[in-house]
Amino acid sequence: MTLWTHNEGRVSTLQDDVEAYEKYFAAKNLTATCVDSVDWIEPQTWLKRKFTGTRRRKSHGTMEPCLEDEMFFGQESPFDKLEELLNDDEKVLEIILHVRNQLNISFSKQLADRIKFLFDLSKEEYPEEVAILPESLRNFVGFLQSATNLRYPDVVLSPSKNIRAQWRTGPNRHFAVEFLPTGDAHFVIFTPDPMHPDKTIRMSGLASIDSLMETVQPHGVLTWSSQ
Amino acid sequence: MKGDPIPDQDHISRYCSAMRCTENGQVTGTAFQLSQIEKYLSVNWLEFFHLANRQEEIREVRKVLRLKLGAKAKIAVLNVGETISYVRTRSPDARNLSMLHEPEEDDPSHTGIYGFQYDDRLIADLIAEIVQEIYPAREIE
Repeated sequence: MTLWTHNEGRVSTLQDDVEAYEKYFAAKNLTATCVDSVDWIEPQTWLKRKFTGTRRRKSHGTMEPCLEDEMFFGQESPFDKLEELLNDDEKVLEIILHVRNQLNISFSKQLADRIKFLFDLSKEEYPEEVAILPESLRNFVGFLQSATNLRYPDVVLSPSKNIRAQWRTGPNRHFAVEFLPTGDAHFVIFTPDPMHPDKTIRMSGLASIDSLMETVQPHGVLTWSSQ
Repeated sequence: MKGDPIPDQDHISRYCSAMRCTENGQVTGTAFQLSQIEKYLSVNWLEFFHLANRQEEIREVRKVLRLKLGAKAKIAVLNVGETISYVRTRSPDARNLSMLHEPEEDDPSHTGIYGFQYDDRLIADLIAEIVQEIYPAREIE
């Protein structure tokens, strides 16, 4: 398993992680100056910090895990994160299957094919990373189910592996939505100015997916994005 | 030289994975979005190569790109001055981009587009609108 650690900016393997932890553990605990009892839970905080890139310490002189890390990460197993990475791809494949077989929209099969294409491509280009963030895909599918009558969008992946859907018929008829895993959506709209049709209103914003259509409808996006 | 602005009349190219392109091969704004760890958008300065035509410049870009070039990926070409002006006149905050030479040992034409962040999706969509030419990332045999 090879992982990209953002803050350290390098690729490492699980074997590297084990060896690196062994060195760190030996340096910290197998010395004559060690006065604390051995903390057998520490690998999880060490590994969690490594995945998230956080290396905060209470002070320059200690390697103790800081309180904020503990509160944020809770008491997961050190390999939970790895399991999440592995399972995310399976979750995405399940959602694709759902889109193909159970989603009640006219372009469900075409959409499933497109998402599978993006999944395969993402896996090919970044084999050690999650292909598509499953929560983003789930939110996108949920949005399509609730906002019926939308045309088939152009679907692409953002650098963060979020689904981004785009309905565009021209430079002043552009509606793009990136579905964030949090349940929010970042949207961009280019639409004709109703008072000056030769001018274009350009705006972007963040809304919950539940209120997205209500937020963007007044700007006329359905005139080019609905069937 | 590192940090020099690229002349307005010159051109830059951007590698665009097929994940960032539509099914009919159009480049979308996601191709110009930064990731959260990037400080600038990496592109290549085409006139740096001093070659006779665009085809030769693109061939050179293919050589220097250290990425695995995807079968359906694209290389998008933009004019420097037009891109800066387009974004400045159309973005709600009159955003001023700059394109600065960032040569690397194995990629001396490497250039950075500065002036926007990873969450500036509107700016990325505007840049995608001003793409002048699109080439296959892999040379057609």
